[in-house]
Amino acid sequence: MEILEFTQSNVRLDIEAGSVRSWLVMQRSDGVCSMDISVGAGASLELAFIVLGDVRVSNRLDIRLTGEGASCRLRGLWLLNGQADVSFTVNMNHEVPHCTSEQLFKGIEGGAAHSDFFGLIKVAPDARKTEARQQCHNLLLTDKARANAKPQLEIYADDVICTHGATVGRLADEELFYMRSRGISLEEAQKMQLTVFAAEALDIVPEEVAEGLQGWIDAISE
Amino acid sequence: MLDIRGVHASVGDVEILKGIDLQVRAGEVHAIMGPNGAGKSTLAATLAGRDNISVTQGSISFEGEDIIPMSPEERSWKGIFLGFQYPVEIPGLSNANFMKAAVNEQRKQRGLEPVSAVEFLRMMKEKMALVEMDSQFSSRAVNAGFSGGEKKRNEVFQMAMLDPKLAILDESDSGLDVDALRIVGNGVNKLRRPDNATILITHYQRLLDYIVPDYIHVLYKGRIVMTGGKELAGEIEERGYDWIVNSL
Repeated sequence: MEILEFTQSNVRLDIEAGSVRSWLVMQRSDGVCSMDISVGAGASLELAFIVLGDVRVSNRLDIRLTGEGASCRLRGLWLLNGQADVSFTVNMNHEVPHCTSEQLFKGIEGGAAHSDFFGLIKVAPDARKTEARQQCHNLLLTDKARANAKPQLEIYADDVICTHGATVGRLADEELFYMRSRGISLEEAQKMQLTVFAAEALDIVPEEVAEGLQGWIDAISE
Repeated sequence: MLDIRGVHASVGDVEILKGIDLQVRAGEVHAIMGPNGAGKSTLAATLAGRDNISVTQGSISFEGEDIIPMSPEERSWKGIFLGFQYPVEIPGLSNANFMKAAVNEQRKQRGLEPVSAVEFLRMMKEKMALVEMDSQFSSRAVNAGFSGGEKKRNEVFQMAMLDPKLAILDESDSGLDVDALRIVGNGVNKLRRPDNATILITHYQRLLDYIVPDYIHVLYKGRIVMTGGKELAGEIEERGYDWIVNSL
């Protein structure tokens, strides 16, 4: 997985048939990122975003699966605090049959941070045997933090599997009490919950990057 | 060890415990029985420091210290353990990592270094054997997708790992088949020592076939209305709670 660190970008590219691309985009400062990527037959794209801290970030991803057997995995994790304002717009276009896409976005909002997620899965009329999944889950740590998640499906083909889900929640009291009753301090129990919550969105990210996020999790939980 | 005097406790505006008196000494096993809604689980949660319960009157001291102002974790560090009636699922957190965090926090409070990896594995293996858990259990997420029996065995396993002075087991028998009941009962029995104590909270007498208590208390409408020896369980099994309630 190649790690890219940028603030402003406007990426347009075609992933040729049969090739494999894997990128991680780290965003630790304000920026606008727009990506328009087509994935050809049998090609695969793995793309992960990690957005950290008190930042204003606007990301737009237009992914087109244009050749049969193309696949795409998207991951996003944002750990926000302060006055952070982060938006993700994702358009996943299944244009031909037998393509798969899988998306998982997770956000933790502390301080007065705000996130918006808009995700559309669009399946063209002849894109049979499409498999498309999208999940976006948020944890709010304060009363001032906000998160919106709007998943949407437009399906014009038959014989497809499409799922989506979105949640905005808070740390679970039941879990916290359970952990505390075993002697884990409130602060530590909260950190553990956040770490576990975030970990799911880090499955394709190099381990050293995932481990490096612990400090950010500790910081936003305070 | 535990001295509860005149405790009233409420959940929200509703008073559930209406004057509880209970003394537990080291080496003793007390069973608290009673019909549904008597306040058994509220009593357990009150002792463990659940924050939606407020003690409005009375005192609770543990080894001479007032525990009412203490957080759940402080009570755990003092040696109080609650086995949950409904153990909580924590997807994504492995049993091993959960227990490592708990054991090390307990050690930190006693001024000890974190447990070594080798010692921790040895402890896990030994305590898992106590409740007949197989080795893959340690990498599974805490209670996630566990059967009812596995969850209750996990509670006893955690109890064994933390080695509390006072274990309060809330309905550890509910939802268990005979095999799981035997495993839970054996586990608890093996952990009994002259220097620790156990409070078993149960609706039915069947767990008491495996773990024989020194005292049985009947809780009804937030009060202990009868206390007796182990023979009381058989009587309740035969006659139900009505005869006690009707004699009040």
